[in-house]
Formats: sequence, structure tokens, C-alpha cells
Amino acid sequence: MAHRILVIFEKPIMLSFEPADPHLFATALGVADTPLEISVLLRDSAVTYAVSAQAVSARILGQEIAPSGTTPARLVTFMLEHGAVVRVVREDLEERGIPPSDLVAGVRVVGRFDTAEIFAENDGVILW
Amino acid sequence: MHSDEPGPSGRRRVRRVAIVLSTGSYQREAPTTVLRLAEKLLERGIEVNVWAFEEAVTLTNQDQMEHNEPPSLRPVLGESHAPVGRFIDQLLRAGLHGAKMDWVTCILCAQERGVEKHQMGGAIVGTLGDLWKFVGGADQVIAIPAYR
Amino acid sequence: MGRLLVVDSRDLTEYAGGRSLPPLIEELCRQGHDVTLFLVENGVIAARRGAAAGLSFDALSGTGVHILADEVACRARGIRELAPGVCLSDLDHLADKIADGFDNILWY
Repeated sequence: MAHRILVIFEKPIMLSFEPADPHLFATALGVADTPLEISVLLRDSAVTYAVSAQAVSARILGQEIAPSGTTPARLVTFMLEHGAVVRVVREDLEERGIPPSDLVAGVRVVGRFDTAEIFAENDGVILW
Repeated sequence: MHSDEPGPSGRRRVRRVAIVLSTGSYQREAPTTVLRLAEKLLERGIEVNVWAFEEAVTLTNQDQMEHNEPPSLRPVLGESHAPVGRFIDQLLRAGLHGAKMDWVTCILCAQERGVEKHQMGGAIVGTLGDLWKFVGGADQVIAIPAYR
Repeated sequence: MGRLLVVDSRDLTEYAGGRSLPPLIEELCRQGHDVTLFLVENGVIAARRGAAAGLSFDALSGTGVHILADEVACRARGIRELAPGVCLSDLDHLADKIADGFDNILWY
């Protein structure tokens, strides 16, 4: 039985007429509502999900398309609050000019080569 | 509204923009950008012709429903959200009182996805030929890449 | 010479083709074209100060390329400081420029 699940994000999806990236909130649901031990790895462009200062808002004909204002950072915080481990890849942060001080508190920064160990310690991988 | 006066660059102002869109919503930001830009172009009196291909034919599915979010996530996601089709419908209606937006969905793609009979009022089920008529008749062509 | 618009909607590091975009723009500019680069969606990831993909923007701007970043996309990604050479912009500005006409538009 798969119990320890690694969920990997590579590409950020913003402002898609969902309240947030559906892969992200599906993962958050798994973290909050199931006994599975789910951890998250943000790499490539998806490291931006861990940046704390996000603000989501866009209007069309005066109507807000993201009325809840749910940011990926808010969902990352939600998952941390529910016990998930959330990691970001240091090299991908650096390539995008994101200092660790800009990240949501509690997110762990790991090296690219650490991901092999993380992969090996889980029973299943979901790469969205 | 539209003026025949030259723009700041001294060129004849644009009257018609064709937008080729091949991506659906809910997992891509591209349709959002297209709708945001279409609104701005319509405001400037520019006719907007959208040709919806591949997954983009689902954007005008009239059966999109506003649903409740999962209970445990409502503190984060809110109660519900409006589907993309509502915004397209409003932009199509906005053309009644200003510059017009035509939205044509590819019949082949719509049939493959079972949405040909589910297109919202105002969306036109068209052919591949309409793509090239839109492109040929436009002052500006914007083609959104369908990258994976 | 021509008036050209390049819109980048992807993280420039994400696809191999993205890395060829700045050199393409540089060459268009060298040939005398008036080039605007508008960054939107994940394209603004390169506009964050310190991003490797945006290191060429200052030099491109110096050669006359207008580099603009969509404010909505920047805010969504928590970008508070832009790379040198990039100006904050919005779709109103982009629509104004399109209304004025380009000889060609490449949306990447």
C-alpha cells in the first residue's frame, strides 16, 4: 500500500479561472483529509509557489475572476499547517533570483541532488 | 471608440485583431490573458475575432457549472468561483454596444469533444477555413502557442 | 524598418526555445527594427531582479528594445523588484500599442 507520497510541481498555473492551480488544491485536500503522508517538492518554475508576497487578482468587465484571492502561497501555508513537508530546489530558486528570505516560513530549501534521496524514501510519486 | 485618425506612431489605426487560441482553461492562464486583452481591444473600438481550436472549444461549453468547493478547503478557496464561460458570454454581449467580438469554435474539435451541441449562444461553430479567413482579414494576428 | 511585438508568456528557462528569444530580439533590434518585448503570465518570472533569464534585459533595453512586464502577472508571482531594463506595464498599455499597429506579433 502506498502511504508516503511525493507530489512534484514543475510549472506554476495562475489565474486559470480556478481558485488556484487545481493540482495544488487537490494535493492540499490529500494533506488535510487523508491519512496519507504527503510531501511536496517544488522545482523548476514552480518554485514561485513558495514565494510569500503573492497577490492574485484580475478583472474582466469589472468582475474579479479570482474572488477568493487564493494564492499558491496560501495553499502552501495550509499544507504546512496540516503537517506536510514542503521543499523547494535551491538551484531553481537561484536561477530565478528568489532569495530564501522571500519564501513562506516553514518551506525547506534542498539541493537538486537531495531529490534522489527524497524520491527513494517515498512509496509513490505524483508529478503534475 | 474607433477613429480613422492615425495613432501615435503615425500608422493607420488597427480595426480588426484575430486571435487564434488552442488551449482550454482551468489549467492554463492563456485564456485569461486572451479575455483580458480582448476586453481592452473592444474598449478601443477594435473588432476581435477569436478562433478557438483544440481544447479551446470547451471554453464556450454552455454547461459549465458553478460548483461548491470541497468543504475542508473552503477556508482557503472560498465557497465557489465563476466558470470561464460566463466571462466569454459577457464579452460577446458587450459587442451589442460597442466593438464586436466573434468567437468561432472549430467544428472538428467540438465534435471530437462532444461539445458541438453545447456551445453557448453567440459562439459560432465554424470550419478550418474560418481560421484562415480571420487571419487573412485581420490587421493584427495573435496566435497563442499550444505548448504542453 | 518594422515595428515588432514579441510577447513572452513562458518562463524563458522552461523550454529550449525560450533561450533563443533574447538573441532573436537582439538581432531584430540590430537590423533596425523597433521591438517591444511584453512579458506576461510565466514570462514575468524572468523579470524578477536577479533572475538569470533576465540578465540580458538591461543590455537589450540599452539597444532600444522596450521591455514591459504585466503588473497582474508580477503581483501573482510575488515579484516586487524588476530586473534592470524592465518597466512595469499592463494590458491597457499593450492594447494601446496593438491599436497603433505592429508589422508582426510573435506570441511565445
